[in-house]
Amino acid sequence: MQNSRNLALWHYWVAFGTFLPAVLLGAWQMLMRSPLPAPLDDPDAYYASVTLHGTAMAYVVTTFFAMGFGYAIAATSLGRPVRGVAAAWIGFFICLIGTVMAVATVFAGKASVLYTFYPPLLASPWYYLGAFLLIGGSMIWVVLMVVNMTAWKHDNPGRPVPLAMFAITATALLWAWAASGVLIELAGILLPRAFGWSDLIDAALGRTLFSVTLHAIVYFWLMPAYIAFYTLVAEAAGGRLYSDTMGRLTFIMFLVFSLPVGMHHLLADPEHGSGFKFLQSFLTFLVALPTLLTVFSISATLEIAGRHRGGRGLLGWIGALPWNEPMVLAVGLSLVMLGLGGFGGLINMSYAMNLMIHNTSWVTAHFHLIFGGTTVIMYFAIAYEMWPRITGKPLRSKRLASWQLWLWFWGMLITTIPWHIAGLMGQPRRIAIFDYSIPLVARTAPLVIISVIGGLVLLVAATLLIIILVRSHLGERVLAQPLRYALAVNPPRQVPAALNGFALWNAILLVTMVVTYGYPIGQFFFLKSHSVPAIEVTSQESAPTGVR
Amino acid sequence: MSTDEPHHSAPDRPEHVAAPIGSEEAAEALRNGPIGALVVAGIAVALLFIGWMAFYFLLFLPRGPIG
Amino acid sequence: MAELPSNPLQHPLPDGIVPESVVARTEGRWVMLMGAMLAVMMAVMVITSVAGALHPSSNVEVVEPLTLHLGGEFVESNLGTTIEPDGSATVRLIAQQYDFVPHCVSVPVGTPVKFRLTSADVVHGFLLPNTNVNTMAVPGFVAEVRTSFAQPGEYEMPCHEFCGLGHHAMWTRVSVVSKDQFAARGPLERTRCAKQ
Repeated sequence: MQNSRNLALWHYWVAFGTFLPAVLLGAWQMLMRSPLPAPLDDPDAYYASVTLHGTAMAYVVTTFFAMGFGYAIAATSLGRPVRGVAAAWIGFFICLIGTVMAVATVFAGKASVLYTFYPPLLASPWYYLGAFLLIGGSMIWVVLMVVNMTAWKHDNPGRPVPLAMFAITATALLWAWAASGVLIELAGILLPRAFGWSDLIDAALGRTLFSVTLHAIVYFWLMPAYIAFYTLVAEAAGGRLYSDTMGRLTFIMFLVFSLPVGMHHLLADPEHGSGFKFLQSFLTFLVALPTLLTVFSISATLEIAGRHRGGRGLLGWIGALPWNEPMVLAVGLSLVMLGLGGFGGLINMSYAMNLMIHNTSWVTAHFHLIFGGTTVIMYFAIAYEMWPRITGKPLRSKRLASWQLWLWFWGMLITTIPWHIAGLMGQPRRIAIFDYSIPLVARTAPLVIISVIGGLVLLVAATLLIIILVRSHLGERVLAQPLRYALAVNPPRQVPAALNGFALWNAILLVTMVVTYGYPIGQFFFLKSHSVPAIEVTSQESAPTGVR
Repeated sequence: MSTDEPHHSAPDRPEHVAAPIGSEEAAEALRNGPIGALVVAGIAVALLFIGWMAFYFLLFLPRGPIG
Repeated sequence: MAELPSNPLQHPLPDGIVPESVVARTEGRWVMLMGAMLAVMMAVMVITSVAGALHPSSNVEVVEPLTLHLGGEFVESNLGTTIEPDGSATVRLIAQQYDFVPHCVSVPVGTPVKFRLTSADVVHGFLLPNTNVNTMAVPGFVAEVRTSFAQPGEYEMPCHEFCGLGHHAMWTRVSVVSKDQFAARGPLERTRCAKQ
């Protein structure tokens, strides 16, 4: 871990340093939309906060975390120094500059367009430029993951790429494909208009390009968690990975199926026809498959450990697992949240059933549970594994770490379960102030208040995370054990080229993307004029014209 | 390159490979196959399936036609 | 945990603790089971969508957004509820920052209703809670959804797509009234917001 030690660490510091303030904003937002009094009771502040919270969580925390994790994996799994460290640092600084640019602009109230941009709403060009630098800059990381894996393969002909490296390279490639949508939207539509080089905005085209990113990005977020499932849990639990092949197939399936499905975010939109919507819904069922397979494989992996520790009978192995290990506890809690959050996802993708919940709080609750819950709790667990390995300073208290994970788990359930129900009742998204005199809204009031309490629990848990990491960092340096990746039940001596590289899968993905998105995007260049003027989101008179 | 037996698909250096249980122990644990995993995953997925059906037929369809 | 056994990698690896074919078969069976479950769900979706004509708005109709008020289908006098010759109702709405035009509409119960909406400025949303009427008003396109209401009632109707800093105030109402009540209302009264 020599030359890239600081590299990974600095990426994690930016990720988690951004995380805590973003959680604070989220907790304030929950309070603001509730019937309870909130400080700074201002809708303009709310929308700026939602933009900041979303930008931080969706782009900053996740990208920096993935990059740091990638460098750490490259350094430890390949048994040799990471190549391209200088380029990696350049990428880090480009991403950091972009982050600061975007955050500052939102903070100044000049970019309240939310992290989904919502054209033809228009923000300050510095926001879009910041986002472009952050997302574009991370492409350096993508290239470095591919370079490192390719160089290793070249020097080790015929040998299987270590699973962790294979998986993080799949993640990087997925990110490159996913980011293409938003990068094209930024470079082609939003930046030109924001700088005044074009007049009109094709909102439908912008939404469609963004949809390429919008679903695939959640798998970019999720894959590091799955890498932990497949390569880190086995050691923490004291077992072996059930199937190395299934691990490879899972990451390949994510790469191929996460992208041609973005239209399920546009199912209620009028600018696409039923045929393509149905096609992409069908493909979305396929992207559920790797998760369903992972649930079984990881349960089997845990079962090996549990039985070895003395668990008997059908389910005794569960109790026998070392639940005091943060990684094991995190996996258990993550899988519970995966079940609940994944269920929500199955509802969302089911074509017409999507209309039951589209743009209601159900959607917001869903992605907080599946991302903020399932994925982020694994980020915590990975941090608890990584920090001691990189710094040489062990976790001060595993008990405190366990407390932190439990708090985050309960906080997430308390926040999101009532939120799901409110969505089913028809509560719309992204509302700064609810008029609780409206009967529909009044019925959701108790649910909203419960979510506020959940948000406070999450805030405590997030603070505890930072305290644990900082305290450990300030501790004594003792020689820590190196990071250890799972050994499979059947460590393969050779794997087929298709499971050891990505050329075939990239080719398949290219064809699939052309088939599923070629016409939906291309049509906009042939349809009659439908572009509109941009509308700047400035601090306007928010007095509603439709008050009854 | 190290002179160890290649660590197929595990990381490249022995110190980066987790081998907390030996081969015999792993084989013993899997003597009856991963039956516990089948039970847990099976119940979880069955709940998902039933839940989806319930939502589809009891919540979504009764809300009325849309076309 | 007891002391670690010696790292098996210091000795040559055995040729499969549990034969890879066994692992592959187990995993393969699980894949088949999952595939079957997903196939059933997809079949349910397809059959009910086709049989019940359940579709989100997918009409892909372009409309010139800058001249909505001046002429064509969405001119002001044509907005609101119209009864077609075949007895069905067509409701035309324009969404704009931060209101729907007209602000309230009424429709007769037990009648096929077609909502047609578009936006004059940014993307807005249209949701009738506890129904499946849920669509997006995208500038440049007309969204059409068809439904019918089995019961009379009042639907508080929010815009559910962030449309600017006044988004939270964009609420309106759809009233579903009996056919007699509807027929008794003149065109002006159909868009009155006061509760009847």
